[in-house]
Amino acid sequence: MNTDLLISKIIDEGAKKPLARPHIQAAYWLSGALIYIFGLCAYNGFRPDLYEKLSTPLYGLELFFLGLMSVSTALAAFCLARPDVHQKPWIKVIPFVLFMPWAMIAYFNSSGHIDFESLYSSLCASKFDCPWHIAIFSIPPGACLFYIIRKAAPIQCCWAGTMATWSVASLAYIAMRIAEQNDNLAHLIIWHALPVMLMCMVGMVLGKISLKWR
Amino acid sequence: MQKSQQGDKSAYGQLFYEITPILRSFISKKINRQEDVEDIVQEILISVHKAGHTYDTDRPFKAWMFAIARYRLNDHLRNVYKKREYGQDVNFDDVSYDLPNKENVTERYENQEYLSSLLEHLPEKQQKIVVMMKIEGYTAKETAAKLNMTESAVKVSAHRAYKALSLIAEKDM
Repeated sequence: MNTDLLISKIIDEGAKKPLARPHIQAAYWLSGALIYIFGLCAYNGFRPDLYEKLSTPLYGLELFFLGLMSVSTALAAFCLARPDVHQKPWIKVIPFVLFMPWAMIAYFNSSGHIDFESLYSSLCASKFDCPWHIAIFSIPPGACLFYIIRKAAPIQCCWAGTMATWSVASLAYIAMRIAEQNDNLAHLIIWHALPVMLMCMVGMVLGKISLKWR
Repeated sequence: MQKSQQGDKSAYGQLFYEITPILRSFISKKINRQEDVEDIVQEILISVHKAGHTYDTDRPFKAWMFAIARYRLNDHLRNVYKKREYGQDVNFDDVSYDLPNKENVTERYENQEYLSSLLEHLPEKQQKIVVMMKIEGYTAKETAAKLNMTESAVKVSAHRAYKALSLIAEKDM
């Protein structure tokens, strides 16, 4: 087709209305995801010692850092849905920076030791309901986030997928921490942290498949 | 783009007519086949149109547009390498077309001779500076280090040499 003819067709179609800014999109999505996740949490019931736990600073800090991680990854995912994201390369680094203090706080906030035996016994306990709950918490808001990103133009689709999954998984992790009364370190590593990491990897692959801008 | 996002179709058209030659020259530098260049330019134009809603008016338009252009160019190259279109059925007529013909070679040789004759009119130091900076590709800093001069002295000397060369060339014409 002739380029001039193509341009005239494009002009006939006209420009699309601009998307909301990434931080506004992130704010809307986070509000919706929080309503869903905490609504589900409230329906299932919070952990009985939640009030006591919230008064301990480490627990509060752990939740705070998880929240920060979720916000930063959501913002990164929405920024990554735009072609000129290369102008903000630092946006992908922030969640990794937040991950380190969160991991330390989570370590000091948990109970029990971390050795091969405790990890093995935790693995044998077969607490499959934890990753299952994480998945239930994550899938609907995650699917919604993927849909919104896909409607934009994600050039770095793997990164966008990873950040989107990380964001929703962090929210699900918060939900699990306020719903389940178990602070055992081995349990948290095997049945909470590892599934979340696995989800992020799956998110990267899903991003490559479903978010590729064609 | 800001106007076109508000529904101004003529501004939208003007934008596309203005970016097309920019994109064409950008792609021509990377791709040799003219028909491929036009295809890629058209793909980029479609992508710019499809992704128009992701453009933030507070941010530079060209950076956004070239990000799309690079993405589409890489996409095209990926497809070419996947299909292994390169290196298959090499047409030697096309290859010889790209090679310089006899006339070009002699023309280039004549130019070189003319340039050396012009350089002979310059003082030795200026000759050295011009040869090092314009033919051998040294920077002003490197030239200064080699000739034991300051960088600014090299720049001044080079400037004077270029002026002298252009005057001599004008006289010859």
